[in-house]
Amino acid sequence: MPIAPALAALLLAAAPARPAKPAPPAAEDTGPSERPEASPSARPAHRGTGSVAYVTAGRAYLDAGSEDGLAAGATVELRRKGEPAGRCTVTDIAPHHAVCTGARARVGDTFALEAPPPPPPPPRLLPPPPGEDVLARRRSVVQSAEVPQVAFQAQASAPAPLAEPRTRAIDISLGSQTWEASPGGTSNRESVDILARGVPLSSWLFLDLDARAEHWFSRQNPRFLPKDTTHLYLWQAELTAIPSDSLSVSAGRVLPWGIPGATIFDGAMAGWRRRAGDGQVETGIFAGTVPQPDSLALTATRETGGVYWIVDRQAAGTVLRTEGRLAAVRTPELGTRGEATLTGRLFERAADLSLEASLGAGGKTHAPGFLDAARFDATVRPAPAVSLGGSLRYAGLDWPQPFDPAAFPGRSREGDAFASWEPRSWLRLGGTAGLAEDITSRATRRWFGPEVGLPALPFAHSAITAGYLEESGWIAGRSAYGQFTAAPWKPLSLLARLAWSHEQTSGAFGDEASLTLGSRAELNQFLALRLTLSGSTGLTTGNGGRSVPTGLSAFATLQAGY
Amino acid sequence: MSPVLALLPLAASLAAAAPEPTAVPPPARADRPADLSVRPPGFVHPQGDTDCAACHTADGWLPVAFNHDRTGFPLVGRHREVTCKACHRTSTFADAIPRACSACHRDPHLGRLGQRCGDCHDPTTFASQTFGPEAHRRTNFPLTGRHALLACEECHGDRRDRGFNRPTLRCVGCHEADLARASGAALDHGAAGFSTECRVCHSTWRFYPASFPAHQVCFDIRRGSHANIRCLTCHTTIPAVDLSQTFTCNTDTANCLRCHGNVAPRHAGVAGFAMVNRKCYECHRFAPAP
Repeated sequence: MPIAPALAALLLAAAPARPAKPAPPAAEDTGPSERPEASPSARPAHRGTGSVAYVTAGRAYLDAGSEDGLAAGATVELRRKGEPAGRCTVTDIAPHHAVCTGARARVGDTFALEAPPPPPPPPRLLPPPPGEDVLARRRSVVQSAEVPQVAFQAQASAPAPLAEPRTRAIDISLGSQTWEASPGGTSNRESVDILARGVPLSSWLFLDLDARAEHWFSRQNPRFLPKDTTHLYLWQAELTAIPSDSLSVSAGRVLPWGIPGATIFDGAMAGWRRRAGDGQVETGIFAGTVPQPDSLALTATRETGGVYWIVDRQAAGTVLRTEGRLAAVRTPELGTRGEATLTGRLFERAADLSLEASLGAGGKTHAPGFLDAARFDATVRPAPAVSLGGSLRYAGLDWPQPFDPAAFPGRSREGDAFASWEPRSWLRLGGTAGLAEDITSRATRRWFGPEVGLPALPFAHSAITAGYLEESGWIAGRSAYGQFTAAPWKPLSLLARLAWSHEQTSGAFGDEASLTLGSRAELNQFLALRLTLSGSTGLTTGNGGRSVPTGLSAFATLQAGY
Repeated sequence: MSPVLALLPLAASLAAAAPEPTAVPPPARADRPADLSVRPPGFVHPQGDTDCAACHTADGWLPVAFNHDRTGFPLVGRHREVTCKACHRTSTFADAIPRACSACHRDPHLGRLGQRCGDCHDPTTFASQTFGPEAHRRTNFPLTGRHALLACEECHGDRRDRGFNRPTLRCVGCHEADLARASGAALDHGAAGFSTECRVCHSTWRFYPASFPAHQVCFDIRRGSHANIRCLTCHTTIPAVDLSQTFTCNTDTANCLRCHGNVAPRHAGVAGFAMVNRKCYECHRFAPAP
C-alpha cells in the first residue's frame, strides 16, 4: 500500500470529532411554527487561515476541512512568510482536514479560509396525522356541508349570419391513370385537377374554381370526343359577391349547388336571404347558357333561366330543407319546355328522408304524366346499432338520341334496400338487395346478398369485410368479395380487395377474379399520395381462346391541399 | 352432445346473471368514504348535473378526452380535424345533430345520386372514390372483362353534371364502330341477320373468338378442332338468317372438304358415303372429325 494515501486516510480518520450538535427537542403536537430554530451562535467561530500540517512528495495535508470553508476541488493560495507559495487543489476532504496537490508546499505554509456557507435550516417536521376520530369528524363536516350549484348560463349569442360561411379550400391534384388489357391495348391519361372554394378576392368577393385538364397519351377505342387527346373541363369558374348578409350575386360558369334539378350554366344568379321563424329562406333568379354535356364547351344552343327557392329550418337536431326550381329550358333534343323541380329533405339523428320530383311540359316530347324523374331515399336508425334504408328512382323522360353513344339516360326504374346491424363493436352484419329495369329494352337485373364486416379486426384501425351477391335477370350470375382495410398509423391507409364473379350469359366468360391494392399516404400537412393497382383476369380461356385474358389498371394521384 | 354445445347453456346463464358493467359509481353512504376516484369516460352524475370529468381532464380544459365513438358517429378521416363547433353549432352538446352527409356537405352532384355519399366516397377526402367494378354490380350493367378496365367517362360521357347518368344498355350504342369494322374485315353481321346485342356471341374481354349458341343446335363449334375458327373458314357464304325463328341447319354453304381434303380412302366401305359436303354433316354433326 503506498504510504501517502494510507497516511491521508489515517489522518482523516484520526481527525478529532467535533462535539455532536445537541438533538432537537422532541416534537410536540404544537405545530411546526412553535418549534425552536437552531441558534446561529451555536456555530464555531471562523478561523480565517489554515496551514499545511504535513507534506509528501506530491501532497500537502491541511489542518482545515469542509466545516472550515474548504470543498473538494477548491484551490487554495499558499503563502510562505507572507509571500505567495503556489496553488494547491483540494482532492480529499474531511470536516477539519484536507489533502491537496499542486504546489510544492512546506509544513507551515498558510492559506486563507473563506467563511463556510451557513448550514441549512433543520427540516421542519410535520405533525403526525390526525387520528381516525378527527378524520371522521372532518369528513362528516364536509359531507354535510351544502355546496351551492353554479348553474351554467350561456351568453346570448348573436344570431348566425344568413350567408353560408365561406370555407376556403384549395386542392391541386396531379393524376396518372393507366388501363391495360390483354388482348387489347393500353390507355394512359395524365390530368391536373384544380379545386378552389371560397377564395377571398376582397372582403365581399369570392372565387370558386373547379377544373380539370387532361391529356390522353394513348387511348383505345374512345367513345366520346374520339379525336381530341387533350381536354379542359371547367365545371365552375364563379365569382360571388356578398355585399350584405342577405344578398349574394354570382356570375361566370356557375355551379348552382342549391338549385334542385339545375345544371351548370354560363350566366348569373342572384339570391336573397331572410330569416323566417327558426330558419331562413332564400329566393333567387338565374339565367344563362348551358354548356355541351360531353365537352363542357360554350354553346348558344342550350339555355336555361328561372327562379328558385330554398327553405331551411333547423330545430332540436332536425334539419328540414325544401327546395324548388321553376325554369324555362331550351335544348336541341327537347326544344323549349318548362321544368319544375321540388325537393323535400328531412335530416334527423334517427332518420334521413329525401323526396325529389322533376316535372316537364312543352317542347318536342314529355314523359308520361309529365314526370321526368323522381326519387325517394330513406335511412332509418331505429336503434343505435341498426340501420335500415333504401331508395326508389324513376326516370320517365326518354330523351331523343340524336347521336351515339348515348349521353342521356333513357327511361328506367330502380330500387335498392339495405340493412345493417352491429350486435358487437367488432361485428357488423348486413344485407342488400336491388332491382334495376331499363323500361325501353325491358332489361332487368335483380340482386341480393349478405355482407359481414369485422371492424377493428385483426387489430385496431383495421377492418375486414366480405360480401356475396346472387344476381338474376338479363345478366345473371353471382359474385363475392373480401376486403381488408387498415390504417397502421395515421398518415397511411391501406386497402386490399379480392373479388370473384361468375356470369351465366352465353357470350361471356364464366368466371373472373380481380385483386385491388390501394394506399393513401399523407406525406405532410399539405401533401397526400394515393396509389391504386387493380388486376383482373378471366379464369378460363373461354370460347376456345388460346390465352387467358388479363387486365390491369393503375392510378396515382398526388394531392396538395390548403 | 359435444362438450362445447353442452357448455353453451351454462355460459348463457352466467352471462345473464352477470351485472352489466356500469360507469356510474354507487352513491356515497355515511359509513363509506366519499368516492374521490377518477371517473371513467362516460361518467354521468347520478343527479344529472354537469360532470366536467366526463370530457375534461386535470391537464387543462383544451385536451378533451371524449370518446365520440359512443355517439354512433365515429370521427374518422377529416372529421377528426374539425373543431367541435363546426358540427355542434349551438352552445350545448345536448342538441342532437343529423348524421346525413348532405346535412353538412354540399352535393356537387346536385342531388342526382342520392344521399348516401358513403357508397362512393370515404371520410378522408371526397376525391378518393371507393366506387369500383364490384360496386357497379349493383346496377343494371355489371362491369366485367374490359368494361372494368375503362375510364368511367368512356361510358358516362355526361361530364357536365358529373351525375353518372345511366348510359344506354344497348351494346351497339357504344360499339357501333366495332360492328362496322367487323362487317368489313370478318363478317357482315347485318347481312347475316345477327343481333346487335354483341354479348349474345361475344365476351366482354374480346370479340374474337366468339361463340354462336344457335350454331350448337346444328354443329358443335364450341369444342374440338372446329372451335376458335372463323365463320368464313368453313362457310363459303353466310346466308341471312332470322335468329328469332327456328334455326335452319342445312345452309349448303359449309365447305368441309376444303380443309379435310380427299377423305374417300378413309371412308372405304362406309355405306352411303359420297364426297359431298352435305354428306359429311349427316354423320359428323355432333362428333368431332377424327
